[in-house]
Amino acid sequence: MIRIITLLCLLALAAAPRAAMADALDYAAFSALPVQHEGRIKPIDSFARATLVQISGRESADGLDATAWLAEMLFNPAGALHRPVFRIFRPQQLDLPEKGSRYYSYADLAPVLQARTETLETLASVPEKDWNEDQRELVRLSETSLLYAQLLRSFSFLLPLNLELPAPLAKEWKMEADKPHTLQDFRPYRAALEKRVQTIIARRGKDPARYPDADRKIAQFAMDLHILETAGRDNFLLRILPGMDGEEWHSPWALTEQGQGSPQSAAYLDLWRKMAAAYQSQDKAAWDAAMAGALQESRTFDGQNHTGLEIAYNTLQPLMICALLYFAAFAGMAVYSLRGNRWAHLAGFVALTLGACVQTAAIVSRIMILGRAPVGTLYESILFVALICVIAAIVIEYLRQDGNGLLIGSVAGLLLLFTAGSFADGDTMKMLVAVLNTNFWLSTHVLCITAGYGFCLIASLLAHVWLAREASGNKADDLVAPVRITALIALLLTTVGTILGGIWADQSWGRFWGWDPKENGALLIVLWLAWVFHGQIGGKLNRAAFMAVMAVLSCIVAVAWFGVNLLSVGLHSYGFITGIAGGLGAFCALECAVTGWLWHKTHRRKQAAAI
Amino acid sequence: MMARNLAILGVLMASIAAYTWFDGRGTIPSSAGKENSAASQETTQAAQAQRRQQAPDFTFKPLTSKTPNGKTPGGKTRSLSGFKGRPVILNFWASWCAPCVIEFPAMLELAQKTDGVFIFLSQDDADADIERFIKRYGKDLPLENVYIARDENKETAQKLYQTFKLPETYIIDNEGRIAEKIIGADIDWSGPDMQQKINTLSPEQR
Repeated sequence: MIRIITLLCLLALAAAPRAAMADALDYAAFSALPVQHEGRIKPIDSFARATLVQISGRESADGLDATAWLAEMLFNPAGALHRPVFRIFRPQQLDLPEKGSRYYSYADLAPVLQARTETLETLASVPEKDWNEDQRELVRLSETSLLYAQLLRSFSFLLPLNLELPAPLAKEWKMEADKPHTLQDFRPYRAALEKRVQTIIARRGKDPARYPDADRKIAQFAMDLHILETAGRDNFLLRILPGMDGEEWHSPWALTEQGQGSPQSAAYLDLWRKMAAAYQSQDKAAWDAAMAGALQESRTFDGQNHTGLEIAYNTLQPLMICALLYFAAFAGMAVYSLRGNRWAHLAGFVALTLGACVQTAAIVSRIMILGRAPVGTLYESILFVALICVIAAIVIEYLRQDGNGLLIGSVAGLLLLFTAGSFADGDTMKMLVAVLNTNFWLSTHVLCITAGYGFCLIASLLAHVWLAREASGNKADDLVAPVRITALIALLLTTVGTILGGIWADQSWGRFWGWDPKENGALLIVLWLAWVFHGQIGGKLNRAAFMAVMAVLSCIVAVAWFGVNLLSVGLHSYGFITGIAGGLGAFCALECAVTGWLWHKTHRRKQAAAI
Repeated sequence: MMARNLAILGVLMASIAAYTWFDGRGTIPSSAGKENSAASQETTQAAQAQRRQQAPDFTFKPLTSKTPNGKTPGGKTRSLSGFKGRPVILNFWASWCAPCVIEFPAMLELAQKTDGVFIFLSQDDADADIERFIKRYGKDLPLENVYIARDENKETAQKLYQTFKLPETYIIDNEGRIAEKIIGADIDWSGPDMQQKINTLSPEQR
């Protein structure tokens, strides 16, 4: 790592102070250039945000937004070495000085990690589940620092070098010695240089200290070039253009190291070289010209989907707008409930409806960008369920006009959006694992099941409202029908969804039902609802008990939705998660306690009323 | 009410079952389908040709050293664009590159079977290295459609074609567009497949 720092100092060190003020340039076009990352073609904007979140936990760092930060990483790596972007929770554990901020630079971190190489090597042979928190943090920092170092070297062969070209070589290669050159410029003479160094070694021995000045300079120059070449190998992170087959994209280094270059890549990389030069000289006109050329050239690459829409999605943060609107709806409902103000009710209804529109637009945007149904990951399923809940709540509110729809819609929307936020790790628009990548089944089975989850949550929330009103001595008979209807819709959707899942499993895995935890989870909801309705119709559950078991339906959904993923067994390996067992247990315990208490109070009231 | 709900559920389930059944069976082949398939294959080939990148033009001076046959090929400066109308096989090689040496005779054999133009651009630092190589391996030379030249300062290879590893070969169609890039020497140059590939790029054969 120290070596990486040393070699990065060979790059454009002279330009660093000027480039550190890199705010005069317009990054709009730069943010729209395409890259292939995690199997998807996306704009640099998305790549930069996801990578910076991984490193620093935020989408901006030290006053730079993600795109400006990435530009500095690529075009002024010597300057980026000292930018404090690494979020470190326990600096004292790493013997780093306290500095009133959690953020440290690569230059701070690299020596610390270097000193712990042995610990890291030992940890590699220990199962991850046996690591303690400090060890986990150390490994995380090691991984993010490797990622950082890869990015810093992405264009190292196209950046001007802070190297002195020995005069004899300059004369021989017909190059100007006092002008900064790139590693690329020296590549045609690599073999000749090697031959020359071999001659020097044969003549003078292996100790450069004994060489005459001219020979020592040549040997040192050859060594510096060798370090840069070696460090660039295996640099695959930033894949900026497609290979000759048009499918797999390649990083600049891979293009030159793996024979994936072409006349098109030569022309495109030349534009990137111009961008780097313009960045370092802070030449706005040159930057804009190179950027326009690169953007135009990149438009000919296949596989780009709605780049502008994705940048707009990243910039506008529509889910944050939704959360604000749902909060406004909740506030409107609260004012209406306390003061009876009809205008507050109307404002709350409008806010909830606007929130649903914005969330619908967000989900439609994701469908267009990803070209698939909007429920491929846990994060997406939460967004979709939130939307179903809010739309169902709007319909209920429109029909009843009593504030209950506003209450359950805003609460469900807010809670689910915050839950989704905790699952948003870097780029939330992920490619699907192969087994899920079937648009027909994603659009039927998964949508059906997740819509079922949404109606389950609405039924559960309405049951909570019924219990709360009855427990406080208010009659809530008018809520019985909505609870029953939403629960019946939930039963229909989850049953059909479960059967569709069986058909999909039969096609994908060759069996309809395998008692897989995820399948059992889906069946659990169906059985629970069937049991509740049978209990009620058969007279075994009175109304309070019916509402209580309907209220804890949220726990059943949580277990089926998230809980089974904790088991890490079964064929649904794409859904495995860790670290939520405590939260899930707490949620279920709280739900059971609240529901039990409300049911108990309601029951006591009913008994008292009967006497 | 109950009957209506049951009917909706029944229709839904039947639609899903029908779709699943038909989806698994695919389309039924027919003669019309075959014709369409041939037509669409041609359209795809034409579309692929349309999407090919233009090969950047460059000039080169063929070497005029004597071949083992004692003959001297012509050495006037040529350009890639000068061969428009014929397929071009542009090979980047060097005398010190073992795979290049291995594939060279097979490529010469192919050159004798097709009317494609073969340009061997050497990445050697000196003409003498190439001359030594020709003396040793060029017993079939000179050929009307084969040119051997040195790529001065590797300008064409590295700057225009971004070729850094050897050997690399570009097959360029008669319109001067890149039809294919071949990395390495793991290919049967003198076999019938390659011969057919070059011939399909020749206007006379189309």
